[in-house]
Amino acid sequence: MNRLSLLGRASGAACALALALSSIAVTADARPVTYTGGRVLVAEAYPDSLAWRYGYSGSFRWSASVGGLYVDGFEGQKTLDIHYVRGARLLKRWNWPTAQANVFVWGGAGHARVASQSDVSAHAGFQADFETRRIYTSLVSEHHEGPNWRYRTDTVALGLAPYEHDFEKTALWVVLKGMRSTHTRDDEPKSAVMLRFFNPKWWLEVGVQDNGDLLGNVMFNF
Amino acid sequence: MNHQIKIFVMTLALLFAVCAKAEDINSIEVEVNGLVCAFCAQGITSAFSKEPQTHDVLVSLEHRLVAIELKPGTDMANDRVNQVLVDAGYDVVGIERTQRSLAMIRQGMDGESDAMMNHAHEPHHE
Repeated sequence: MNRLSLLGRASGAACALALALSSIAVTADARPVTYTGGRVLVAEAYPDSLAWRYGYSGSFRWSASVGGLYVDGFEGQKTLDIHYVRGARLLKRWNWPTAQANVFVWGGAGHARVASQSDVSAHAGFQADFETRRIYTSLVSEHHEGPNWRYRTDTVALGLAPYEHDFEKTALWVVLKGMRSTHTRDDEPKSAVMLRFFNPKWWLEVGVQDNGDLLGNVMFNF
Repeated sequence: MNHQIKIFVMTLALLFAVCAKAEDINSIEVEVNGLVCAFCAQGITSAFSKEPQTHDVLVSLEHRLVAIELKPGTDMANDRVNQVLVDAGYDVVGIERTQRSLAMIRQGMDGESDAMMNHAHEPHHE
C-alpha cells in the first residue's frame, strides 16, 4: 500500500499535518502529559504506520486524549486501524537543579478495524524519561489489544544537544532511537538517527532508519 | 531667566516621575529545580500569566530562574508563587523580591553570559 493511500486513512487535522510531511515517514516520544491547560497535537508516520493524537492536560499530573493509529502490513498483509480515547497520568517526577525525570502511564479504549473486521480495542502504555539541557533519554512501551489480535511497540531514545538551549530559542538535538514493533510485516528491531528541532510552540523531528527509510514527527503545543 | 527656571522645574519633575516609576517596579525572582525543556517553561509562563497581578514572566533555563514582574501596586505572596510552580510540576529552591524590571534582569543575565564568554576567550598567562 503506498503512502498516499495510508494518508487517506488518517483522520482530522492530523491528516493535514501528515500530508505536509508526506515525503517522509514520521516517529515521536513526546510527553503524554504537559502542563495545566496545555493542549498538544502530535502526528507521527513510520514507514508502515501513521498515528495522531490530540491531548488536553488538566494538570501536570493527568491528561485526556483522542487519537488514531494505522498500521500497514499487520500480521502479514492485513491492516490495523484504531481510534481511541485515553487517559494518561504522571506517576512520579524528580526535579533536580539541572535535570528532570518522569514516569508516565496511560490506558484507553476504542474501536479497531483489522482487515475488514471491526473490534473493540484497549491499550496501555508506559514512558520513563530523563532529561538535562544536553542529554535526553527515554523508554516508551505501548500495547494495543483486541479480541483476536495484539500490537506492541517499544522505543528507546538517547538524545544529545550540541549546545545548551534556552527558553524562546529553537533547540537542536541529535537523537538515536531503537524501535521494535510486534506482529508487523517485519518484527526485527530497527535503529534510527534523528534531528530534533523544538521550541515552546512546536517540535519537529526528521531522520533516517537503518534500512534507509526516512522518519520524522511533528507536534504543536497550544 | 524665567525660561531657565521652567526647564529646571520640568527636569526635576521628570526625574521625580522616573524615580517614582522605578520604585513602583516590583519583581519576584524564583530559583527552580527541574527547568530543562522549553515545553515545560511554556507551562510556567502560562500558569503565571493567569495570575491577575502578573505583568510579565521571564523563564531562563540557563539560570534556573523564573522572574515575575508584577503590575504596579500589586503583590503576590510567596506561598502563592510556590503553589503556582508546584502545580506546574516544579520544585522551588528560593524566592527573592527585587525592584528590577524583567528587562533589567534579562540585561543582567546577558551581561553575565557575555562576561563568561569573554573570560573563556581571554588568553591565559602562566
